[in-house]
Amino acid sequence: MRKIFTHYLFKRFLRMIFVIYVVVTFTFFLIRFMPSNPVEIYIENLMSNYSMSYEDARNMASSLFSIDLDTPLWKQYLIYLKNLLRGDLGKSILSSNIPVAEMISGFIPWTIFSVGASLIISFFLGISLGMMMAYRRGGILDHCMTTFASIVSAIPSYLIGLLLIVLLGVQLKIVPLSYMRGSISPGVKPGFNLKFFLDALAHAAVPITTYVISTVGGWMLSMKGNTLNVLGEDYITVARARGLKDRTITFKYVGKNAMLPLMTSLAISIGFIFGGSVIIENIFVYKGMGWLLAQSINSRDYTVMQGVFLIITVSVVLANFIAELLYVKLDPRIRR
Amino acid sequence: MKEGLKIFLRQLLRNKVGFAGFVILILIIFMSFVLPIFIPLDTKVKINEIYQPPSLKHPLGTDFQGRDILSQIIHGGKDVIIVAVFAGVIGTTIAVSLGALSGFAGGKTDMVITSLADILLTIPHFPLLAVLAAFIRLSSPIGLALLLGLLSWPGAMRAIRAQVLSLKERDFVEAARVLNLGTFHIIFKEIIPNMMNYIVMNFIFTMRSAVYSQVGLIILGFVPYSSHNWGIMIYYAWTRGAIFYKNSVLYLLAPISMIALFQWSLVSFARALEGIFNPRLREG
Amino acid sequence: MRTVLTVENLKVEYSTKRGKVKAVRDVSVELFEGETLAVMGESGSGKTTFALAILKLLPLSGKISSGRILYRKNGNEYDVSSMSEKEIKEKIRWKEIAMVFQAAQNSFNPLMKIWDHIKDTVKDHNIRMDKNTLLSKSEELLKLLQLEPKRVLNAYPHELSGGMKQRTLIALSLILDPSILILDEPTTALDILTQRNILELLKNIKKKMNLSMILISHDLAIAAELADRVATFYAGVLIEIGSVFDVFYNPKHPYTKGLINSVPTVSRDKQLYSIPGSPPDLVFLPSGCKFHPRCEYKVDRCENEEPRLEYVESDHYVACWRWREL
Repeated sequence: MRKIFTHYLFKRFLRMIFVIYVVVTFTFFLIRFMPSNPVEIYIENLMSNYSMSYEDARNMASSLFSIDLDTPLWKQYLIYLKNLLRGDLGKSILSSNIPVAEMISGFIPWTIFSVGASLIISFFLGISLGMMMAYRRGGILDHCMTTFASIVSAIPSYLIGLLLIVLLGVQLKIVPLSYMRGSISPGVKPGFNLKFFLDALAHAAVPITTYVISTVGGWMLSMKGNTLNVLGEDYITVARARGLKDRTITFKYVGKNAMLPLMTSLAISIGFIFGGSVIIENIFVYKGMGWLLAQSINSRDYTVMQGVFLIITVSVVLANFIAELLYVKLDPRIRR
Repeated sequence: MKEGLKIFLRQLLRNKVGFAGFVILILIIFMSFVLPIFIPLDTKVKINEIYQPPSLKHPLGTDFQGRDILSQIIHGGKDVIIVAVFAGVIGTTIAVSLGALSGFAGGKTDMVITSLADILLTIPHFPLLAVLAAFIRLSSPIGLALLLGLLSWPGAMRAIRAQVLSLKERDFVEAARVLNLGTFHIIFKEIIPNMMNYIVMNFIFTMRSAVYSQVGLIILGFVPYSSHNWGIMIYYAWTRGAIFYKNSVLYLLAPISMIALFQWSLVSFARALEGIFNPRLREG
Repeated sequence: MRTVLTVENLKVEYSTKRGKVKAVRDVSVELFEGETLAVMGESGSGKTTFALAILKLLPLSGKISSGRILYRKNGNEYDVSSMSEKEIKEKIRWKEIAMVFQAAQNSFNPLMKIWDHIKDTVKDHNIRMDKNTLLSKSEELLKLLQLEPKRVLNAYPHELSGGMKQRTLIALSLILDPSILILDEPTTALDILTQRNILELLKNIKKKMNLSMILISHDLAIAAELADRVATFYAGVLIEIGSVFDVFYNPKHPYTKGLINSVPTVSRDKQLYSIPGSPPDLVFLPSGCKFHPRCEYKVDRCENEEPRLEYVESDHYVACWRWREL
């Protein structure tokens, strides 16, 4: 039994590694073979703006992108892989000499915090409301919530963000917009203290609300459907015949079984929220990975862009794998 | 055919929300493709009419250059819808072809296609699009649609592959094979009609995600569009700070409402279609 | 003989889009201590609804529109039909009246081990029992049903075969020492050898424990083997009831006769009989005797008046206008 279990996970693990490898390779060739090849552009820039010689410009470019331009492509590729394994993502083009990896480490916690919190809040809120809808199907509450869910899940997340700004920030003036900018107020030092914690929470509140509103509808509708299916299962009738308490049946029998199929959607949702964060973090000037990605694209800072894209993708792939692990852990039937 | 349309409409009428979605969809398409012929786009900069509140002359007010917002809304749907439809066509065509190929060929072909689909499914699309936007000029709607379509086939491809695998075993396909009608015939005459459900649903959902990505790219300023569309309106309303003036909030709200309405009606229509295609759902 | 359960004038209806489905109409029956009562009938005859109604387990659309269900224990009488949901849950379901469902059903929560099912059952009835006592009791019951206790307790439902699951459910049904066990098609959908095995085990349980059982089955062979008395349902009504011997060897109702004659036997060489027609529509019931459209002995009276149960001999009753002549 145990052996089969590990075997299954091992296969999943290999697949994850493979996907990461493909993305890594893809970015390597993207930077080199795209119509507007950033390395060439950068060399030309250096030559025209700083009147460097081609040789010097080339050397500078190769150290920035951490590629040796004189070696054959396959060797460059191997060096690139080797550097990646060591955690070396090259250096930023604009803020020269700041290693990309170091830069990212200052941005990624904010995204993980806001996206992670949203995912958890949205998931649990959604499944609770979804179950409630299923238990009171046909009632007014069910109708209202179904309508709400189908509307919010149809609207793109960033539009919900914009609407929240207009509504809360401009019209009702509940949220101080200028204070909200950034992931933290200037002067507040990260650390284990209440002030930092509250400040971080205040800055993340509206982005998190946006993510939650835009994803909760999907969870509600799927959970409602799943709950209705599970309520029709034989083991629920048997559980009732066994005289089990409503609480036990609702949570252990209905809830768990209805929630399980959503674990696969959880993986998809992680990727979706991460993707949406590129736009939402820019709307709210929330300085996480999405913001950094958009900035680096706008300023053509290709090394940063490449690094951020890699890290975002690897995070999503990893999150997918974790969701899979969770699924395997929760469903005894899948372990074969 | 006429009879079929009648049955279709009758089924649609039974689902009130779905019918509403269908009607709104038709209205939006009409507004975006027919009305522009009669109502010209207001392009003249009028310094003295900047950010006017709604009036008889300008029912939705004016923008930061004093131009009529309503005319921009009417003209702004075309590009968005064209990109969505093209992305849907491209994505669905790829999904059907690869799904059918994968299901029929099996073996190595199947493995390669499904792994490719798996990879594309795990990579978050929007960041990928944003990165590609840095290299490829996405200024033409068709180019953007092509890119969106190329990314959006894996989900449907898996569904269609699964369908092909199960349909392959069924009698009528078996019969076609015995009659030696050829794979092409089997796919296009026997299997595709049986999967219209998946195909149409996927088409609609690809359209929906195409609108999402497209407008998202525009809002970030990654798509240098020259023409007017709802996304550009939001971009300007946002970057020029239209939201901070009480009178001009419609400049942002109007295109947002149009996009939201379009997305909602797509989803509602899709759900209604699902009910029509899948009779088992009709009961509930 | 002491009565453990009395059902008086039970009526159950389901509301559907087409109208009210009259699933059980005016059924009165008694269950004696230690006996097994078999309830026979085609599907749609109301036999499963009857069983679910006893435990008040009807689906949302179903409702007991009238009648009483009385449960007796140690000289006390409890009116189950007027009990609150909470009381039934804690005191009646599984504690006094347990039910084993069709073998084809997924009776267990797929995400929980069997042992957790047992623990839940005991815990939710507020029974204080230390873990070891419960464990040894469960093991004993599983052994009684010829299962390997250690393996089954640690297994998830999908790791057990259909027959094992059914035996496990029977063991689980006995965990709180109920006085009544309702078996709803306990062997349906199992292969013939497993059916045989379960039947033997049930016989064994019946012999060893002082259980009253209601066996719902369309399989007459099982009824004949296990039951002391037999009741026949048709279109939601009890049409014949009596001892196994009387009903099988001297059936009075044409429908019961038809049922018995439609079972192949080794000894008899007669041609197999099958009842013509199909069960009636429970929303729009025929007039008079509900069986008359399919009955070859019908007279005018059958079409107009519905017969009531009449005394035949000892505890044999039948609801047919012409039972004396047939």
